[in-house]
Amino acid sequence: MWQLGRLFLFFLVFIFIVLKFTVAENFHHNDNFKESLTIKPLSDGKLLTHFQFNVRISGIKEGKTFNHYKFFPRAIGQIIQSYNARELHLTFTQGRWNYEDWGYPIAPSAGTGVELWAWLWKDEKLDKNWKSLTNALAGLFCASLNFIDDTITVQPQLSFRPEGSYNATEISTHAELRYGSLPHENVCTENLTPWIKLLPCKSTSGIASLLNGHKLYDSNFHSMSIHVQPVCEDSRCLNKQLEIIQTVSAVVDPVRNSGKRDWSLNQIFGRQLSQACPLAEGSKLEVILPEDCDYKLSPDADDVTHMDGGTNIALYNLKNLQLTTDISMTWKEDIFEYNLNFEQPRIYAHRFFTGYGQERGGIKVNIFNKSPNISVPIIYYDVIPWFLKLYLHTLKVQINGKEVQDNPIKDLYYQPAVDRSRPNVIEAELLLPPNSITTLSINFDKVFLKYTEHPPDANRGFDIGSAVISSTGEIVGDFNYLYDVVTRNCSEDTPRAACYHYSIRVYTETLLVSLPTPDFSMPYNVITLTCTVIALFFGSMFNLLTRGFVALQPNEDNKNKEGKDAAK
Amino acid sequence: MSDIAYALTRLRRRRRLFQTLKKWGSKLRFLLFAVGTCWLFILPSDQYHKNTYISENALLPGQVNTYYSWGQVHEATAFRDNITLISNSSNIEKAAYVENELRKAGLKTAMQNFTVNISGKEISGTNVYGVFNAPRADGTEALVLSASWKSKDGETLNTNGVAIALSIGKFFKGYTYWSKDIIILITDGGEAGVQAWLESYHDHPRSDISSAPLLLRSGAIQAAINLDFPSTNDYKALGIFFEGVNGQLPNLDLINTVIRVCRGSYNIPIMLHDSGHHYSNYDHGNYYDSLHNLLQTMRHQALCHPTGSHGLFFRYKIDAITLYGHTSARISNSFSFMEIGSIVESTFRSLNNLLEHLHQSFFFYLLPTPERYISIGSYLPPALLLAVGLILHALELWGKTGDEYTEGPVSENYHPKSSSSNGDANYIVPLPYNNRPRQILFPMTVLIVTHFAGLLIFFVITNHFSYNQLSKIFGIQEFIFTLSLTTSISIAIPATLIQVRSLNNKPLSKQIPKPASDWMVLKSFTLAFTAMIISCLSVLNFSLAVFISLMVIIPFSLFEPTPKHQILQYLQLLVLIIISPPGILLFSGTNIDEFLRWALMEYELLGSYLLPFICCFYWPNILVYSVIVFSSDYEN
Repeated sequence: MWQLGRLFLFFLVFIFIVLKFTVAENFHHNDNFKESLTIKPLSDGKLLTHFQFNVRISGIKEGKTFNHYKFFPRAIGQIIQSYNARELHLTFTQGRWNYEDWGYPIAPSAGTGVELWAWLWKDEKLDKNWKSLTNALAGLFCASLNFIDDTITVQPQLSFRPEGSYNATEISTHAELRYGSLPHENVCTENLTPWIKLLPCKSTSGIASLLNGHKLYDSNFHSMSIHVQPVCEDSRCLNKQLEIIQTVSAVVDPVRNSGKRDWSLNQIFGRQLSQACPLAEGSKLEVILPEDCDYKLSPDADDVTHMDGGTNIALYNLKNLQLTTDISMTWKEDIFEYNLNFEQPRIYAHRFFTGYGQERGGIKVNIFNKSPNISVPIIYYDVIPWFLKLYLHTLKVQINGKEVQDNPIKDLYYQPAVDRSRPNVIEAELLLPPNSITTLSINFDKVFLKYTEHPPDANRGFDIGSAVISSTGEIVGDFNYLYDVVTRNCSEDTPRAACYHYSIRVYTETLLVSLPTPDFSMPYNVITLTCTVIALFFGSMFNLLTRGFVALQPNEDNKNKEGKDAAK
Repeated sequence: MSDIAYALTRLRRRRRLFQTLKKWGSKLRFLLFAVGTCWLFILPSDQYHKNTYISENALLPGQVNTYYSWGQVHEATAFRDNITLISNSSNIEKAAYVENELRKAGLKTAMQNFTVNISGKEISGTNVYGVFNAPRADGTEALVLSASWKSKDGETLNTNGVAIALSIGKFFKGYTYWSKDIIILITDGGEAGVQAWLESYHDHPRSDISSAPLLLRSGAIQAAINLDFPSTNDYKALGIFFEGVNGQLPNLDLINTVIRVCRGSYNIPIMLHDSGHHYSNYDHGNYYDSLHNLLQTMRHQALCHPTGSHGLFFRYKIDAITLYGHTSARISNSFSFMEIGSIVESTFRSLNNLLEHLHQSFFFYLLPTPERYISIGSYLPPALLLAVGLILHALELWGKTGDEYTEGPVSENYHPKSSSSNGDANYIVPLPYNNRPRQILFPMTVLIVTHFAGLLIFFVITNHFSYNQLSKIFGIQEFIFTLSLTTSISIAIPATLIQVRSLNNKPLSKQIPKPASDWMVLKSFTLAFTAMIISCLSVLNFSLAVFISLMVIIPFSLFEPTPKHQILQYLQLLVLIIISPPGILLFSGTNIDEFLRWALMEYELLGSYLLPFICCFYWPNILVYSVIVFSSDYEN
């Protein structure tokens, strides 16, 4: 009995110690988790839904490892630490973001396919780390990220600056950027499931419970991403936090089914929103209200905030949401009429191939600046695979279809391709005149690939990833159109002005290039193979078979010989 | 010694071969010609061609449930009525109507104005198109559904075609299964409109069309279906047009897909082009129907003329066909929007399945019936046989002009065994051997000069419409001016050549043996050259090669100078005149002015190679022959 008592006491002490340590750890690593869902009716009747989950882990020293995980996903944490990544951005996108009708996306990356870029700490095995990073993420997300090899990997010089807080000199001396994209990577549930597993509440409660694969992949555009980046805890940046932002954006089309743009959560996601994630510090639903006032939102929002640009946002705090509330929005109209003048963002671009045939071609990009009186500096970034041989001397810039005297290219970084080892990279700093179309064009020759270098679907062609237009962060004037971007990165406590250095990125469409393709069909192979064999052996065999071999003996009389000749 | 004997045997073997060839050569040539020609007539026979099949597994034609239903038919009917109402409005108003409708359906739209000054007249118009961005797709691939405002006769309004295109555009928008963007294209100004749009889409100006650059685009176009459903009535049979510029054809899978879809869902009679037999299920027609279809196809191919707007897409590696609504067939059943809509929907669903560009099936084929085909391996031999005949003839002549055994008793009596056992060189009597020098200077000059004349003629014709002022001075019509100019070139050059030759046509009597007559070398060259042209062309444009060879082979083989029979010489000239391009035009009673306009437009706008081919290859060879016929023959 006494022994039992002692054992009990020992047990109590043990539990106390364990608890004390856990609490201390908890106190030390103060993870916090916020979730939000932003819904924005778009000008063409579609609806943008943007899920965002932020987890911050504080008290992190850069370059130091940490082993305690509360909300922060261990899978990501370990990958980041073992491969020495300072910042990591991974986006899976399917479909095109339609800039003309939809404005800028809330998610910063919208290029079709998979885009991965990371700032890695410089050390002797940086390239190996990058390789391992792509492989690890490929395994984690069931995606073909491991195909990002040397022929695709780029080190952009002007674009893709770090998004977390950083010190410019520190970053350039201690870290390096690697970028890779796979334009033809399809995104589906096998990528979403591991993504959801990283969330503190998984998809059991909170807004993540709305992530229904069936509805999500029936949308016009969807994009999911993971961004890991260090952020400052305070204004002087003495302490840093490591933040992971997970987002899912989907553009759904209520008009397609009903002819009306009315929506309700139940209708778009096929699920009920039951409650906020209990672990979340904040859980909110925002509806960015359209400019026309003909709509009705039910139930009434908890709060409506007016933004600087005149945009109104209805806010629902999901923490005090009634069970099984279905938020819905209806317009007083029988049928949705597509309006002919749609919302146009300031800067957008379209890229396309010129010419025809399998020998040569050109690539052209039209960059639009719709601001009536502001010249906008941008950075154009384009990666062209090595099998298109670019001719830099054919790089031409036209503004509104005319050659101009003063060159809008302020700075140009060009990396020529090396066959089978690295791609062409063009980075150009341009100044877009107000209300203009700037056209960049360059010509190329198509390479005749070795037959083993063709993919199994050789006649489909090769995908060329999006070109990216980044703002340099110097845009001044009115910021209305920046609103979406700003909300993503700025929490309420950060001063708004500090958020503006986040650059906007505009992605062009991906392209399909058809290279000269051999006929891979079976009869062709048989024909070529047999012809080669016959050509090689026929001549010699024929010669051997028809030649008369005669032993030449000096004293043999000619008659015999002639007789033999005649016999032939 | 023994080497010499060996050489002798070889020579003897060669000689025997040569003599056999000489003996049987003309018969062999005739045989080749006869076999080749007969073979052509076997092509339409039922035993010769095979059933078509779908080669690309991804297409799965007719395997989907179509959703095009009465709701869409009502919409299409409304569009049709509206289009009829605005049929007399200007091009821009019509385009604006279409743009508005497409925009209301939620497509992105744009207009394109173009003007082109071609063959003396200005064509201008407004194309309008809408792009449906497939949801979730990356937009790298696109399909085109096009309809021209005017039907193929250039007068009737393509009312139903445009109405279906509009209703389909609106209808497709409602589904998410599209993997490729869909472009609804309504073109204006006939072929010029399509060409203008295609050139701008690929940003590759080729002809002189001036048009604004397109700002709305989609990805690489994989296939196009062109709708031609004239007027507003119901249709009896569905015509399929598939020949493109320069005899190019779309991938056979595309045609097969449409036909399978028609067969699967509705029993719509199908025709090739707009005449001949209409084929319903399990009906392959008879020999004469097949022959008719083949001749139609070959005529279109030989003229290098596209049978509809679809023909212009091929240059850009886009497979395309035209579906045509045929009204006057004597069939009781008729079909309208419902069936056409379903066919188009089902075809697009099949094309939507494509993972790669259409490449599996044939690009070179002849279609005797919609569901039977002759592949290139089966139709090429007759054309090659025809060419081989010419080559043999050329070789025979070449042999004749050169090293030749003299037929003499000495050579016949010689036997190697007569050489003594002491086997010395002295014992071997060389064969009587006539080494004639070949004079190729004059033949080469003739060939070069006549082809240069061909280029000159081509230049004159292409500048046909710049002579407006010049022809006015003479007070004659343009085409007569051009015609007289080209004819005078084609008369003057051979005449000069003949004259020049006859002036210094003194065979060097001292030279022994005499060189062969110029005409032999020249004829040999010309025949070889013609054979080369025919055999090369037969791969590119089989039909043109066949027609050319049928026309020239007999005259080219038979014609030679006959100084003793002047009448025969002029008769030969008459035949040459008849088969020369102006002769063909005059004797077939073609309106030369219209033909010139047409040929020039085809050449300048669409890039057809008929005109350059005729001027630079066909015509010069006829001119060469007029030189041959009138050159002197000092052989006999």
